[in-house]
Amino acid sequence: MPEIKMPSLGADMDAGTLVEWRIAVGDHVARGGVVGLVETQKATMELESFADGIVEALLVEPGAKVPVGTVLARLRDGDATSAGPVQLPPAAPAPAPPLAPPPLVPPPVAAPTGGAAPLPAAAPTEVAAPPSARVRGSPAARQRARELGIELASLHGTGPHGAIVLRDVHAPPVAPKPRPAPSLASPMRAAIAAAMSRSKREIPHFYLSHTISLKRALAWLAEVNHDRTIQTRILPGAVLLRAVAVALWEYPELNGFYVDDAFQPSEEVHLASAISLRTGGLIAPAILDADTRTIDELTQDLQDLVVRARSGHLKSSELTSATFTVTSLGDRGCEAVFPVINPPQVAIVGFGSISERPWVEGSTVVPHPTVVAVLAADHRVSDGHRGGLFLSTLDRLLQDPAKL
Amino acid sequence: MTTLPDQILATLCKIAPDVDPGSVDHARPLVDQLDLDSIDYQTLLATLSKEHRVEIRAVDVPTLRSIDDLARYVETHRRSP
Repeated sequence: MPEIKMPSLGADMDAGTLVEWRIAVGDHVARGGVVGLVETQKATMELESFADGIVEALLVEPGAKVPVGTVLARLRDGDATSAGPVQLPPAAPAPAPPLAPPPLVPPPVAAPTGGAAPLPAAAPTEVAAPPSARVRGSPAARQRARELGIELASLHGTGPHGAIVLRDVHAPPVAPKPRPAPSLASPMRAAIAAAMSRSKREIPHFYLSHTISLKRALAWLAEVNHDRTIQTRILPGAVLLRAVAVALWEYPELNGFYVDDAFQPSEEVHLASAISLRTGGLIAPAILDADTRTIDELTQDLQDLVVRARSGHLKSSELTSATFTVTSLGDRGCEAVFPVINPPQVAIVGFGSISERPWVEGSTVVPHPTVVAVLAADHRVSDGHRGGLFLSTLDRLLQDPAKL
Repeated sequence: MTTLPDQILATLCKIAPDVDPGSVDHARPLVDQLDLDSIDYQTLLATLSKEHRVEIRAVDVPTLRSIDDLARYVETHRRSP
C-alpha cells in the first residue's frame, strides 16, 4: 500500500516538521502532487506524493516533528469504483505512534538558547549597590554604564575624587562571550555542518582544476541574445549547466549515490545548483532530468529554482533526488571554488567567476573570458584519470555551444 | 504618488528583502553596493519589464546598472497603456 513518508533531504536531515496538510482523507492524490508542507532545518518545502492513490489516513498532525522515514499518510490504490472517504482501512487503522508528540527527535546541535540571549546585562546588575548612595561619575561614564546595564556604584573610580570616568566602565567580564555559538545555533548552520562534516569524514575527495575559455560560448550567447528580451535571454549559467549535464552522460561514475558501501549510478541526471539564501546558508535543489532540458529551458528552470528556494517553495523531490551538484560563484566571486561533495552524491563541480585572462592563441597571447572549473569527486568511485577526462569533455562541449 | 525610482526600489526590495532602501545610492551601480547575484538582477529586470510594461532588450542589460539607469530606461521605453 502506498505511503507518504517524511523525506530525507540528504545527509544533513534527520527529522522534519509537518507544517500543514493540503489533503484530507478520501482525496485523490496523483504522483508528484503536493500534499502538504514540511519544514526542515534548512527550508520549508512542498511535500509530494510519490504514488497515485486515495488518502486513507493522515497519521501525523501538523506541528509534529518526526524522524526521516516516518510514515505521514497512507494511501490506498485509487481505482475509480471505490471512492468515498467512508470505508474502514483493511488493516489496523492508523497506528498510534507519531500522531501527537512533537519532539521525537532531539533538537539539532541545540546550542544552549540561553547563551545567545540578552548580552551582558545579567549578572552584574545583581550586585546591587545602595541606590541612595550618590556616586560621582562623568556624564560619558554614566551614559556608557547605562548602555552596558552596569550600576555605577559597583565600579571603582579612578577620576578626580574617585569619580568614575569613561575608562572605568568596561563591559562586565561575564562568561566568555557567546559569540561563536549563535552560528551553530542556527538550524541552517547546524544542517550544513552535519552534512559537510560527514562528507569530509567519509568521502575521500580528490580535486581537479581546469581553466576553460568561454570566448566562443559567450560570443554565441551574445549572438543568440541579440534580438531577445529580458524574459527570453539565455544566462551563461544555463550554458554551463547544460554542458555539465551532457558531459555526465559519458561519465556515469560521477552521477549517482554512494549508499550502503556501494555506488549506485543514476540513469537520470538531476542537477543540483547551490543557491545562497539571503537569510544565510545555502540550499542545493535539483533541476530534475536536467539532461533532457534545453539551454532555454534551463535558464527558466534556474531562475524559477532560485526564486522558489529563496521564498521557501521548493518541492521535496527537488531536495531529495539530486545526482550531481554544480556550484557557481557568479560574476563577483573569486576565481575558483574547491567544493565539498554533498553526500550521498559522489561528485560536484565548482565554477569560479567568469573573468578575462591571458590566453595563448597560436603564437600570440590574447584576452579571453575564462572560467576555472574544479571537480571534486569521490575516490571510492572514480579516479583522477576519469575526472580529468570529464573536465576535458566539459571544455570540448563549451567550445561548440550551438551543438549543446 | 511615489516616484519612479522609489517604485523601482520597492521592486528591488521585494526581490532582496534584506536591502535597506534608504541606503541605496540611486546613481551607483546596484551590484557595487548590494549583494545581488545575476539571477536576482535578472528577476529584477524581468519584474520591472512586466510591472511597467517596458520591453527590456537583452543587449541593453549591460547599460542598466543603477536605479537612475533603470528609471531612465523605463521612462523612455514605456509603452502607452
